[in-house]
Amino acid sequence: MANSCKIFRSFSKTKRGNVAVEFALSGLALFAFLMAILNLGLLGFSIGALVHGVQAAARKAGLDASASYATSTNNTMTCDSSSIIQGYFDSYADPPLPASGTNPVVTANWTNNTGSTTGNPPGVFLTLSATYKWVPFGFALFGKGFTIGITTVAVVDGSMNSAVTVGASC
Amino acid sequence: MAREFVGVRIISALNNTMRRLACRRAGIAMIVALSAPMLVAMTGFAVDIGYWYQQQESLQSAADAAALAAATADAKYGDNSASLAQPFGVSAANTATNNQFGLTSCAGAPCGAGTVLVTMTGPTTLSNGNKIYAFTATATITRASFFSRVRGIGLSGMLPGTQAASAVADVVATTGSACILSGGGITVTGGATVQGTNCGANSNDSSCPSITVSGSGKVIATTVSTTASCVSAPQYSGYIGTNPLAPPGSTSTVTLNAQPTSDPLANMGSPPGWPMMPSPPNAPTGLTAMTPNLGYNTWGTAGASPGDCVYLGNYTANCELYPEEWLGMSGVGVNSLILNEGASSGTTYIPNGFGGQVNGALTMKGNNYYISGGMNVSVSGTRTMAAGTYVINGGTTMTNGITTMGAGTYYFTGATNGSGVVTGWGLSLNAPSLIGAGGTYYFNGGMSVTGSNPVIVFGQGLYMFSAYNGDTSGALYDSNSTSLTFTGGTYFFNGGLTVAGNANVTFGPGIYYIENGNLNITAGGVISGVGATFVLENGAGYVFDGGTSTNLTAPVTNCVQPSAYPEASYANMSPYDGTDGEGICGVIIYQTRNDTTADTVDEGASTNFNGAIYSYGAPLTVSGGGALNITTTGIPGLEVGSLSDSGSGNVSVTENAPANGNGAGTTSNTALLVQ
Repeated sequence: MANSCKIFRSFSKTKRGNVAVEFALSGLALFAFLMAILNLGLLGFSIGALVHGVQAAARKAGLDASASYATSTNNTMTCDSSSIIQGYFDSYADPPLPASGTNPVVTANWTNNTGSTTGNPPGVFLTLSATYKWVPFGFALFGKGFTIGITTVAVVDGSMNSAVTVGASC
Repeated sequence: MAREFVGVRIISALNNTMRRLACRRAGIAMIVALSAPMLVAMTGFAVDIGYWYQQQESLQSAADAAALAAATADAKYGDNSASLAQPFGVSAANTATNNQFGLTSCAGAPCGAGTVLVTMTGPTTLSNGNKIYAFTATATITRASFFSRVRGIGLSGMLPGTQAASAVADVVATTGSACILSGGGITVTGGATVQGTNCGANSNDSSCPSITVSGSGKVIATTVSTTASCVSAPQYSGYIGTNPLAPPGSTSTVTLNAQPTSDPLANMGSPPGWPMMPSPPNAPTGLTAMTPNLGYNTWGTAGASPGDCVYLGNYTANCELYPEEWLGMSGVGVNSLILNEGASSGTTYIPNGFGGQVNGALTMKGNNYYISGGMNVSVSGTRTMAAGTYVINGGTTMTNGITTMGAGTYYFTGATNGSGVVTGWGLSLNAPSLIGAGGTYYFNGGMSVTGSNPVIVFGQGLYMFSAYNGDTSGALYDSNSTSLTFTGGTYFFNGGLTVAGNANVTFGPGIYYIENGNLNITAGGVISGVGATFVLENGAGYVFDGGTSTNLTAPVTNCVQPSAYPEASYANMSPYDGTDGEGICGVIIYQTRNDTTADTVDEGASTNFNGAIYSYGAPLTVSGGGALNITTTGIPGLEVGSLSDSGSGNVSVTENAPANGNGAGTTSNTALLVQ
């Protein structure tokens, strides 16, 4: 006990280690800030990737439906399945996001509103949603994360008339 | 103790470290100095990359808009030309990006920065006849480089480059999707055939079955579709579908549960209101009433002045009457008679009828005539009616002779009863040959044409016919082997129009309104014409039967497009026809949608329509060997409320492809962004 007192006394008198101590104390906060900044950037990056992936995949699926009508020999419009749309999403958003499945979750719903005078928009459209549980990097103690999501709607263009049969997939 | 020991170890280690650092004081500065340019460069590069991504997104929007605009322009104008579509693409690209890039047209690949190039491939013809023209738009811009081009210590900088994005839009030209469109069902029985060539047959009847054939009936078209869930054909005989070689009874090529076919001519408006027949001007006052001595047996007596007759022998009295009010004119018997003699613009008033016999020439010089009690002068020679205004009440009959009618305004009113109701023909032509210079004609009581082999021509003008009370044969009734020609103009037939008894009627370019009676071609009647449109309304249908022959061609020039009919300016001013005397482009018969009068083609009628029949609110029955042949270009040939075809009646509608190859009928050119 006496020994330890001596050591602390001598240590408290010397000024040689004060920078290191200050660094050690403030470094933790500094490091926390750095990680927060890093995570903020990552969060923005993830949101951007999610938005781009959903919008680009919806555009591609809408164009596929248009192309199916354009090239159909029996004037039938067909629409991409959910798995194909998920594949489009992955091609645009993976990386940086992981492949869709359990996280992120991509949900595609086609609506055939052709001929309806109610509802909006008219015609055939795709409602594409994606959710992603984002977990911050390096904050394992607080790293519960939270879910970010985006929904977009893509309308299949082209005028519908009787010669066009909207397939069951839409 | 253990804790103290650890503390000593840590302090000792820190001391050692500080000492080592103290020996390398410039180390960090050096590291920072060396890595700073790289860090700054990477930071700048990151900024540039982010901007490039943003630019790429905008550029894709520009390319999408350009491709879609180019395709839409082509779908609308049918040019099938990339160079003509490119300006639309450039404009749309700039609009879509808020003119962010200031894009201009690229004259040809390779394209510089700041340009849009539109190229076209195709047409690609699909097995169903659809044609695809693919328009590819490529937008190219200079790649922005704020930091990446900076050259510095150890960094060479990036050379400026370009960014590009492209998109593909298709124009899908659906060939003749429906040239036979029935708002209700299609029923074919016996050996009848309904055939659409280069086009489809559609039924908007959702009750099942909406298309029914029995016996050996057939419905054959390029496409056959229905909104119903089923069609009906007997197992071993009849046929419905697109492939005549398919086994009888097969309906596998019929598209079921289709969306209702929109009426391609739905924007053709209702005709303007039916004009009132104007009342004729009143008889003049102030004329001196006189009675001339006209007649074979009174030639020796001088006529009342001013007027006289020259006697040259039996039946050769040549008489001249100056403009006045003349009585006792109902029993004329002379060789020749001149009215309004001695005046270039006189007025003759005959209040008690004008009748009798003129062996030679009856000359009615200019220019105003008021005749009551009818006019019925049989003329063996010529009957000349100079240009002017003619008001003839009580019915007019022209028998024999060669009549010339100058340009003017003619009010022919038939005989009336005590209540003033017209009970007889306004004008009855009994075998005269007649040349009318045109003008304005009002037939209150209608017009009847009888007698053998006269040639009758009415010139360009406005003609209004109104059937007399009790008439059942039409406001115009041509019942004998005449040749009657309407040169063209605007025509109103209130009470219908009947061509019968081998009569041959030619309808010139113009518009022919019919109400309260049918366009009735019967008993060997023959009609023909180019540029005529018949507008049927208020209880008017069309009937072609009894070995009749019809050859009509719709107007294609000097006409009003269906979507523009009726032109507002021509619907609000006389003659209220909506077209200023022109027909509706591509349309021969337009039966208004609220006119449900049944239409008929039967009993060996032979019809050739080079233009469309539109009677979307009325049922059409074709039977008994009647043939309905329709050929159109760019407009659906036959739109009916429902179609029933029986016996050996045939309905054949053929679509001619227009010059741009986009098909015909209700061809829809659809622009689709596909890539």
